[in-house]
Amino acid sequence: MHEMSLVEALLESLLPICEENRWKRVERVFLRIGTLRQVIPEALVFCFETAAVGTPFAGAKLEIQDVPIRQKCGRCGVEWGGEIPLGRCGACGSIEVETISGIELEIESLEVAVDDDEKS
Amino acid sequence: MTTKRVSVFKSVLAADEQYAQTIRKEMVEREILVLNLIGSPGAGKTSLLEETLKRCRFRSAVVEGDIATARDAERIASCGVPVIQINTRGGCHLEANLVLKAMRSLPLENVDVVFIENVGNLVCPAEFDLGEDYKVAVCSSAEGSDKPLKYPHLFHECGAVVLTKKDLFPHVRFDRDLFWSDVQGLNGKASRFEVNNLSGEGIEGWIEQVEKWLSLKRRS
Repeated sequence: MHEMSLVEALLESLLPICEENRWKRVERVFLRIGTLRQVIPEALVFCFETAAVGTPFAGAKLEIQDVPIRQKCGRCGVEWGGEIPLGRCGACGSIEVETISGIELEIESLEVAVDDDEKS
Repeated sequence: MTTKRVSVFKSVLAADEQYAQTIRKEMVEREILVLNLIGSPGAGKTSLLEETLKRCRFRSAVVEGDIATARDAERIASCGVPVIQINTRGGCHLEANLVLKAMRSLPLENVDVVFIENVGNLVCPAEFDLGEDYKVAVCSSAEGSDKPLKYPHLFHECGAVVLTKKDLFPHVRFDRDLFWSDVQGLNGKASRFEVNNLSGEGIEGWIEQVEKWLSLKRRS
């Protein structure tokens, strides 16, 4: 259950941006989360709703995009995806395997409410 | 009132990743190897450390992470090694900001290796970078042979897997071949060890691995 830590970190990094830009209300937060990060979306949403009370994020919706695991062989260059990460290339047997996606924990964008005259 | 979409493209853990980078940079300058030991409660992490500290030829310090009590730190201190206990008060993992603070209060000028013993948990600790050189998965035979595939992130990422309680193999129906073939399937690079923390069997091989990592760090 590390979702609360993630939410705390998320708000810690976003609240100063809100203040700087004078955004009073955020409608949606778009996240990209890799399958490998073992995040339970429902737990993340629950923690977010709880922690967001009293901030510009109160009532905002978390839009979580799951990023599947992709790996690449460092020797023969073959790429593949799967439910769990592999330690060996299925094509050439090399252990020089790189995980190229599926480990993201990224804030992609925000949808913020703005006064019509402020819109830019 | 209308809405607008603004790009952020920032890691959720950006602040903590900065702390981890600070630890990494300082430890490179000091040529200190940092290992992050991760395993379930009762896997034998503290016992593995005790046996290691009794026998090793390098100078160590330990950062102990637990939800509560200083019991592990007391065990480590009785080995004559500097130790700092972090109590997370409910937190299921250590984070780099806490570890950085702890490390700065250790007498690092006389240390070759810092062992961080994470909070007992196979899931969350794998998600947080502590500025370590390697994560080490510690798993006991009593937990069952299915743990690597059930908790793939840790076993995929770690630099070594230490299987403890090898003396219990005959009593707990542990499928040793399955365990190691799953580990290899997830991670072809991890070094693999089997130890008995009670008798000290197998500890020497693990210590040699730590020495190998230490000399690699000093050469780089």
